[in-house]
Amino acid sequence: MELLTQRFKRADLIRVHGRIDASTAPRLEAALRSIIAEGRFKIVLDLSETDYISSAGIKVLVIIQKEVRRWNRGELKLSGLRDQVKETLDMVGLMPLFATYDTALEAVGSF
Amino acid sequence: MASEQICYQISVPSRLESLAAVSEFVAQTGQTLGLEPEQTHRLQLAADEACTNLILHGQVAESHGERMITLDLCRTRDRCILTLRDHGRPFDLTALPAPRLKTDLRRRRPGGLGVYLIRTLMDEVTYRSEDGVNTLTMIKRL
Repeated sequence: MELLTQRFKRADLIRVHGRIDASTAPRLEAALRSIIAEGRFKIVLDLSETDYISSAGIKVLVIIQKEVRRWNRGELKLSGLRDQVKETLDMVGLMPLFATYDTALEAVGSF
Repeated sequence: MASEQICYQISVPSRLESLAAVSEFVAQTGQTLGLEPEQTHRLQLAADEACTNLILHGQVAESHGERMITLDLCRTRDRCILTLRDHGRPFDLTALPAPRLKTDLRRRRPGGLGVYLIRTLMDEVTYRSEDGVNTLTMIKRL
């Protein structure tokens, strides 16, 4: 899994390339936490290059969403969800917890 | 007529770095066995979640060499059977309580989702620990 982080005025964007499983999820969590540690809470996670997420990755999304939404200071939004990823999030009933967008730029622009 | 069964097997070291290899094995085998891509993805997820649980919870204190997990993926006319075997500490994930998915985000506790996914993805899940060998069998009807 590779991560590419970009900073925009309105939000921070992380593009994920590759699978998110229990061996790669800790790196994703660390990248998200380093954005939060800088006092930035509006984050877009682009998953257009990710065709696989397991519960370990979903757990990271939930933990970070909890963290950034605290005191209404921000939100974690998702973009470019592929069918397999969408299906997995749907199965655990988590789609309603995330605003989703077709493209990363739409998601960034929505903040 | 007895149903013919075709099986493929892989053995991987019991560590999280093996998950990608497990996933790749299921993807390739699924294709070889003529499964639909969606079916293969579901089997990948079930295999991944089950291996993750064995790796994280089946650790043994004193390790004599590297512990391995063996995965069999079999297909009969009307079902797929995923079987995982290891020699770790017995860990019966079928006995775990289901997570409360309806809980509000602020109260939702992380974890437990992997087992929930396995139960959702597969039709039958059974676990047996015998003579130091733990066997998790997951069946998906086609």
